[in-house]
Amino acid sequence: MTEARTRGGLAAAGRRLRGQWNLTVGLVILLALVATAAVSFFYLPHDPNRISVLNRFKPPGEEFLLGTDQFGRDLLSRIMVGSRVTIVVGVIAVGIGLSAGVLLGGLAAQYGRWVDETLMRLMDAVAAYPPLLLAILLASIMGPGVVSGMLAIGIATVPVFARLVRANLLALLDAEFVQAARALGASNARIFWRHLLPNTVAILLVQATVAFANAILAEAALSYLGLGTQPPDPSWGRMLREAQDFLVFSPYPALMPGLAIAVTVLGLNLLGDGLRDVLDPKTRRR
Amino acid sequence: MQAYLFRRAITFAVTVWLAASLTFVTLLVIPGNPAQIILGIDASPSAVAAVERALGLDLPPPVRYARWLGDLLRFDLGTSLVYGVPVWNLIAERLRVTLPLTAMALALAVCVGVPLGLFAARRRGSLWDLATTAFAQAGIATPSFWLGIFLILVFAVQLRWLPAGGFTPWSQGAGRAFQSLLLPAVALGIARAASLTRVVRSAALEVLSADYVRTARAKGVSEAAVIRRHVLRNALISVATVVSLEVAQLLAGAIIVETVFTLPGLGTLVLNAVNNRDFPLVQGIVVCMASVILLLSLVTDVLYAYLDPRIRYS
Repeated sequence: MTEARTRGGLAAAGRRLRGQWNLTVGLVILLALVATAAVSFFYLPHDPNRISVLNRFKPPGEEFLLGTDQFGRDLLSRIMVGSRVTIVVGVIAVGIGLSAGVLLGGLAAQYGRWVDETLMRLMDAVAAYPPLLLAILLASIMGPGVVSGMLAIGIATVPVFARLVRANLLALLDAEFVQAARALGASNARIFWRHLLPNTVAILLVQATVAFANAILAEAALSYLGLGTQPPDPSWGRMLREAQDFLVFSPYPALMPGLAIAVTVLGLNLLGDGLRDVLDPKTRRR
Repeated sequence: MQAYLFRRAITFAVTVWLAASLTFVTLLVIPGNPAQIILGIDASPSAVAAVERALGLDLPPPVRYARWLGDLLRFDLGTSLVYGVPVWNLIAERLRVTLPLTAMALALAVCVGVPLGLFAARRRGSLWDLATTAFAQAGIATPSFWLGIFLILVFAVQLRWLPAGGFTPWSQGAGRAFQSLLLPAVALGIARAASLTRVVRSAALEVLSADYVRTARAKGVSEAAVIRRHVLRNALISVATVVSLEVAQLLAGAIIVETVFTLPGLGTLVLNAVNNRDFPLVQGIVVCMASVILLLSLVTDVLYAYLDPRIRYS
């Protein structure tokens, strides 16, 4: 009986997973990104910073799988090393947004009244700054670099998470199981950690995936503007900027890092859509 | 409705004040003395002190904040350290590039996104739907600066149809000014068109499965009328709500696209200001952009309440 029910549950989950090509494709792309970054610590086809005039603007071929740039540096090796920056910036920025957002959104929902009003107006004010503008402001204070970029992208993500957490908690606070816990004398903190937060994890996971994709785009943009990763460290946005002036000699140095950005962002967005479909049975497939 | 408008206006004012204050506080904690930056490293301490007095930097922060806020209320954004002219004049001049650029990109996004979204929703599950969805996903994932670089390569370098960068002022012919904004607007607008396609498709699908659409069809209303009277009208409500978000994205995106195409707009101005440590200018542009974005969301909320009679003003 138990077994049958388990299998039935699995089959249902399987049915929901099937036709989830976006989840599968997204997951494959994310794993490929992580694998690329991991491998880059042990193996690189070439030294990513070695300059070789003889090998300038090589098209993709046997020796250089993705070709070389204006200094004869191997594009594949540089993209592999650049993937580390992408992951670190994405993870830390989303981490900042998620933790601060959960905290502020949780406080706003649980305490309500002026706490809610103050925090949410503050979130509105922060949300009025596009991430890029915030990053420019921070870069002018802290000087350009990866850290100010991560911080800016992270801060810019806070309002989205805070609003999401608040809205979901407000709906949950009226639920019977929360009222029961309260009647039993559970503290606000206990209710938050044991009852409210676990019920928002699915929604937060979906939002985190999308925020990760946006953080990667924002980091690339900052690096392109010269406000992110500083030379000679390769980052995808920087590689694009450097390649732009040599476009007429060879399109590959600009093509490849851009492709890396686009595919990664595409993968994460697909993953987010797929997760939303699987985790939230209420959303119909559209 | 009036009470709603009033309360919404108050919230707007408070949020703008908070956003502006955030900018002031961030710039207050900046290491480095603006007076020293204006005069250079070799300036004598007495000269630095004189400039500090002239800029009011020797006053305590609360006094400076009060002054700055007072100026802001009179729409006085101060004077640029580098250009020596009022920040407001610089912004107004650069808006002649950024405003039409954003408007063109928005027009592209709406003109492509709305029909494409409706089209995909009508043919749900077909190959066309799949192709549209694929375009939307790809468009959202493509960085505007990457697209811009390749637009330059194809349409400016190889085909020589359009300029590769720079801006011909409106005074030297509107046609040429328009031409120099065309590629940047496409680079900026495609991602917005893609995201709008998704919004419209999803909104249209919801309407198409609604009971009143079934009723209309059962009554024998023609498909064209159903689309026009029900689907389009309801889908437009969701478009109106996201447009303000899209404009915010466009304004931020303009900073990058203007750099790609070396356009003398607000984006390149703010980047130069950061590099020159021209704080009043950075502050002015940031406050301006944030206020515009907040104003847009105010307008959207009010418009939304008008468009959708189901929204209560409580």
